[in-house]
Amino acid sequence: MNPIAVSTGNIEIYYSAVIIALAIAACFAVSCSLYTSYAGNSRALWVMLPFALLFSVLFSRIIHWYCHVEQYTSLLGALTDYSGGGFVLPGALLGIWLAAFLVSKLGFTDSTARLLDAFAPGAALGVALIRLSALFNNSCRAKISVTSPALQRLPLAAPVYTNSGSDYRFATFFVQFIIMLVIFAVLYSFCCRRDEMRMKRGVPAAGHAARIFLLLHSAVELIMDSTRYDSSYMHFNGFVSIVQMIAAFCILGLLIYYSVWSVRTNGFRAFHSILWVVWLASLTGVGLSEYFVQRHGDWYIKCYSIMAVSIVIMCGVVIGLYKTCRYIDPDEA
Amino acid sequence: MSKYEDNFNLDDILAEFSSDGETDFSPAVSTPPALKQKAVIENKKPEEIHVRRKISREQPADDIPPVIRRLREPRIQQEPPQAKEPRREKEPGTPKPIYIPEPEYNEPDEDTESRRKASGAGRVMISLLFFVISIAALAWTGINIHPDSGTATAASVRNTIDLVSRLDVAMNNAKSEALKDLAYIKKIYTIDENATAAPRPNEAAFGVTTDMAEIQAVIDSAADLLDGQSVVWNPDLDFYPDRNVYYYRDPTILVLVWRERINNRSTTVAEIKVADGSQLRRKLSEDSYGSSVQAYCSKLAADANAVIAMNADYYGFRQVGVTVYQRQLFRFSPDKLDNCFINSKGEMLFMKAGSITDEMQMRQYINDNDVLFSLSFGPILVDNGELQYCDSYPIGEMNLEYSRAGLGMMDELHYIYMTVNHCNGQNPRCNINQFAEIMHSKGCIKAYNLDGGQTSEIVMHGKPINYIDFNAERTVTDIIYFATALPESEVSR
Repeated sequence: MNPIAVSTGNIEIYYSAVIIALAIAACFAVSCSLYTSYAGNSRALWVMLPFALLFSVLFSRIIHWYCHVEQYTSLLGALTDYSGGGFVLPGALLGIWLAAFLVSKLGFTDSTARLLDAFAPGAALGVALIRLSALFNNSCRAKISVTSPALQRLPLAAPVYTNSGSDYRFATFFVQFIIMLVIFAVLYSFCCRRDEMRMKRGVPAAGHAARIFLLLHSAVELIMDSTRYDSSYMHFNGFVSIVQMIAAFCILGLLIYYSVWSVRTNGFRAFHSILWVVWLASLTGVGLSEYFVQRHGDWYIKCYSIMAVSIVIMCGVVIGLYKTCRYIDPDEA
Repeated sequence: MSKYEDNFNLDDILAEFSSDGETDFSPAVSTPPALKQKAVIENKKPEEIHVRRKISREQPADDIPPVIRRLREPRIQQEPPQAKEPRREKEPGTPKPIYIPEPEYNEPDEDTESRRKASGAGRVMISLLFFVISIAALAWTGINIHPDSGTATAASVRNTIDLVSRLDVAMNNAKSEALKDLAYIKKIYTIDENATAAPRPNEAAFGVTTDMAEIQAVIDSAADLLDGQSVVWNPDLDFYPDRNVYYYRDPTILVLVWRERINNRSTTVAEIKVADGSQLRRKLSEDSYGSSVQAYCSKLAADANAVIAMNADYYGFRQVGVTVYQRQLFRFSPDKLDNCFINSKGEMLFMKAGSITDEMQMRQYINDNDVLFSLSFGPILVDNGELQYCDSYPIGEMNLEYSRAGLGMMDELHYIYMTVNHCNGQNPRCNINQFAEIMHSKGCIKAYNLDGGQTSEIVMHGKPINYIDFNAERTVTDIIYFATALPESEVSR
């Protein structure tokens, strides 16, 4: 399939680019509808969008430049010439947060957290569509070869055409697209039921949808990035993916955040210790799975199964801590 | 008693809230209405109360969307049982006072505040401006941002094979064809140095056997290619763990691969004789320097149509050394690593770390020596037939017993690949100097160390021949390989 949708003169527009633009538009539309349903002013989002785009592109690019410095002539070249190179998606999260903060400082909203809450489901949808765009270019490929003809179709596998013939690989981005769609549905539902989810006294009332988006998105990246054959690695160790590191730190940050609030509101309880131990054990499971899948590429079914279970447990622990911060009406209970 | 009592008419406020109809102040437990109201007032700042009343007057409750109405409702909670807030003393004969904490959040007020701030013509203008910018940003994204934009340095470089050379080759081969019944004229086959894949090897030319006579016959049939050079292989080697010998032969390339025990180390040795320097090649993933993509050595070998391939320096793993690919200098960090340059004649040229520190000099060196590509790992193991002892080296864990990989040169267009690996989990591996001794013992006049550990791998006919650490291939960024120069059109003949 020709990846170029429109070619006029010197301008070539790729299908993937069109889908990415649509993804941003969809993200904005969902965010706008949610934010106005919170009685927020959509102006804040209109102001936020260009800043979010600008910062997202810049940060995604800077992280990519750090990991693949030799693809660029210089940092300035990386930030000004977009004819080559790539992007690292977690940079967009930082960009969006910074844009929301800026919009808040400009006085278009009083609550950065609430703006980000409204943005979270839209961001999930946007990421889903951005991942879908990979089907229209050559990047939806993983290390894992799918050899069984019965499995050589979407959503599991996508064909790769090389000089040595066609080859079916695990369609990592398409699978991520599906998972992010599910996360979008979960977050949208969460935002719609936001009023029912009251927090205990002292716990910030807003920002939880954004935090849960960060948690789930990080969880997905933690495992899906491992399946990619073009991960971006750290300089100090060429086996450690920067995306996985960022994802792990995000989940750790959320664990600490909700642990602090949970201990503040409930007092220190035995279940806290148990949850932390379980979380650490799960993190170890993730780390070992990643180590072994890098060493033994053919163990991927075992390794990714253990990694997926570990990540689900890590998320479960954080969500469990979040729930301990929630106020539960005795009547409902 | 509220401290704000002096500033507000409490009756008005209570009346406002009680007649509002949109606020339910009933807590979970039954409480007398007056006490509920009091509790609410005690926990509200006067500004909040004022604003809430304004909103309810501006818009009738029925017109407010349910979501907004819910948001505007003040939230009343029971104190969480764990919270350690001071409780009032219970007075005898009075109803139990109810502690109602502050609302967790106050969206309606915040929102009103933000609307107030964001109002005015200036704000509208700013919003319009940002609307336009947003549309422009989306359009810019559509044009510029696509994950398939590839890498900055695609391998599209100048072809330096001059027309005279090409004409000579064509004339020679035409003469050979025309006079084949009268005289033998050796044909010249080359591979275009910019080609990302070589001609496909002849499947029928691959073989594996334990019959030493069969191997000898293969060697004898390649006498023309060997041109008087002797081979390293002989039937009396200490083959280990088996006596399998893998081979490939056509008029342009002879490959023999076997596994052998040397100095109690398990080695895999590949002996290669080619007809032309262009048959020693390097392939990078995606054929682009700096690509993010990594692939298995066997995959890269298959994509390149390699007869035999080996891992190279895994340049994507580190940022040091000198990297030349298709005559272009891509990386110039010459201080730490010894470098090996391969020129168009297939010669290995060594350069010690720090020998050239100026980039212009390096470019001049590349031009003067007709360098096609480089390998940057090292150290140099054997140079001009002399063993090179290494005291220290910044990469490669030189003093550890480690799996090793190296490229050696025996004679003109005559090479060996060698790896030292585990074998059945028993044999020790070796450090750099031990590896250099092994390479030297095979008769190399030049030998260069490549990336080891799990990276060290020799692939032939699509499969690894040596035992790889952890018994699994590792994805890498590059390989070096030997290919047949025989055009596919001539294979059938």
